[in-house]
Amino acid sequence: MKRVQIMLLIAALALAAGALLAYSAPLDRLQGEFTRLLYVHVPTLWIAFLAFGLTALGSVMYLIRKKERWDRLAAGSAELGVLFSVVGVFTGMVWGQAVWGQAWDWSDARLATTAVMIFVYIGYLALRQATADPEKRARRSAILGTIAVVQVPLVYFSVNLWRTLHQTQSIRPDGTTMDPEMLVALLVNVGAFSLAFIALLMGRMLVTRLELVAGADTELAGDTVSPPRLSEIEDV
Amino acid sequence: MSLWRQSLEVSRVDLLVERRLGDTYRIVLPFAVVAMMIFSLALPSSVTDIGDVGVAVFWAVAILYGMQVALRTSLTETQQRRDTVMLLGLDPAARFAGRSMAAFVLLSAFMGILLVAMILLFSPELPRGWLIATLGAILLASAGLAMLAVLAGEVSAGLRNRSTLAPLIIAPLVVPLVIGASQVLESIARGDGILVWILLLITADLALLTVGVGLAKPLEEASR
Amino acid sequence: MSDALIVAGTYVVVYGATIGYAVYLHRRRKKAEQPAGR
Repeated sequence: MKRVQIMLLIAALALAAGALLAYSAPLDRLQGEFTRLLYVHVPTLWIAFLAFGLTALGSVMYLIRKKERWDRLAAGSAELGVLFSVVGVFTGMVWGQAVWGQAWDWSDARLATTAVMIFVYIGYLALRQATADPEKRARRSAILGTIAVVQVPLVYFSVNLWRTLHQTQSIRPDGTTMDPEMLVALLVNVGAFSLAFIALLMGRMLVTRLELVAGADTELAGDTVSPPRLSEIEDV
Repeated sequence: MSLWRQSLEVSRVDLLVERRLGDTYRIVLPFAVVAMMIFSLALPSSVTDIGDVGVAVFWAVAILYGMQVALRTSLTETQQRRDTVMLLGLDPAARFAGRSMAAFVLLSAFMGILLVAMILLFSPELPRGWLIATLGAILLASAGLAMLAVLAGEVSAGLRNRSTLAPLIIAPLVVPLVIGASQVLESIARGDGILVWILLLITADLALLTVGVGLAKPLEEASR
Repeated sequence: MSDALIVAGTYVVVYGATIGYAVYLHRRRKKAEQPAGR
């Protein structure tokens, strides 16, 4: 508990520093005020992908090791992943609309993959919510998480392929040629949001464990196995 | 019994159940055709040649409704049957393969008929070589969708809301299949090669097969 | 709507979501730590 609170405090300070830098860094001529969106858009999306990776890792590791902690990692990351993906996409849409007059762009593989990821997460969380038994829940979502690990990169790849062949490359600047002050502001914010993510993830995992311990009213173990009633099998 | 024979047996049972109790061709297929009609009715008047969108509508409906087709078998399965099957020592990988094969057969036929309906409804311009290409795409897309549906069905087995949850789980993961399949015909129309899209579809299918077979045992344990 | 306002508003959304999640966690923790009055 204490550790989580300390992490949260550090993260809050880091975010404040990040915000300060975001507002003192120079503006890009083309984007104007909207340059500042970079400092929240990039970090949130970075975290979204990090979270997805952790959900994938947690899922696979749970299947291998069966330790409940991996499941808590996967689930907590998924929740945070949805949050930060949605926020990241939102900031991207504001930026896109303001700077390019276009909020969305299907030919951008990263955008498309993020959209798919959001819905994969939503399905993942819906599955967890629908499964009452903790062990079943852990197993099943781990399996879904593993399936997603395999398919989501394919989404990225296929949209890329589609875009390349369509030759409709939308030039969304990655901020590669950046003023050093901007770069510093960006890096600090990436760091700050990462800290926030870690703090929130730790908190989420802690809360889940508290709930597991407190949840003495879940079904008893006995009702998971019942003998098959062979006489009732339809004769096919 | 070898793995292959086991799989075939599982397929045979699934298809038999579908024949006796199933509503794929009686209900889902007509529903899908109506869906395509609704699409064509909803198109704005600025679309002068609906043939242009015909292929796109076909794939969208084929995949979205195809999910329902492929999930049919898992919806009618009972816990008793699963328990028996497990006790009889049926290899879970064979079960996955068998169920996927059955769903694949149902889906391919479903999409084939739907394709004919689309052609009649939308009269699209069909470039040379479209038939082979589209049939190939149908087979590959059906295989992938079948496996995804079996996996989604298993992962949501026994849950109260599984008829809405399973499609939600499938839908985002099916995107590579949709892109690959719809691009096949478009590439032909442009005069480009379709190899890359076929390879994409094959890759997606192989990935799903690997995951399905690899996770078959944990999946069986988890879905009880 | 001025550009600066839109940007500031976006920042509010971002930080708000982050803080909001922390609050959500806090609430869940409090609920879990309550003695089981079931």
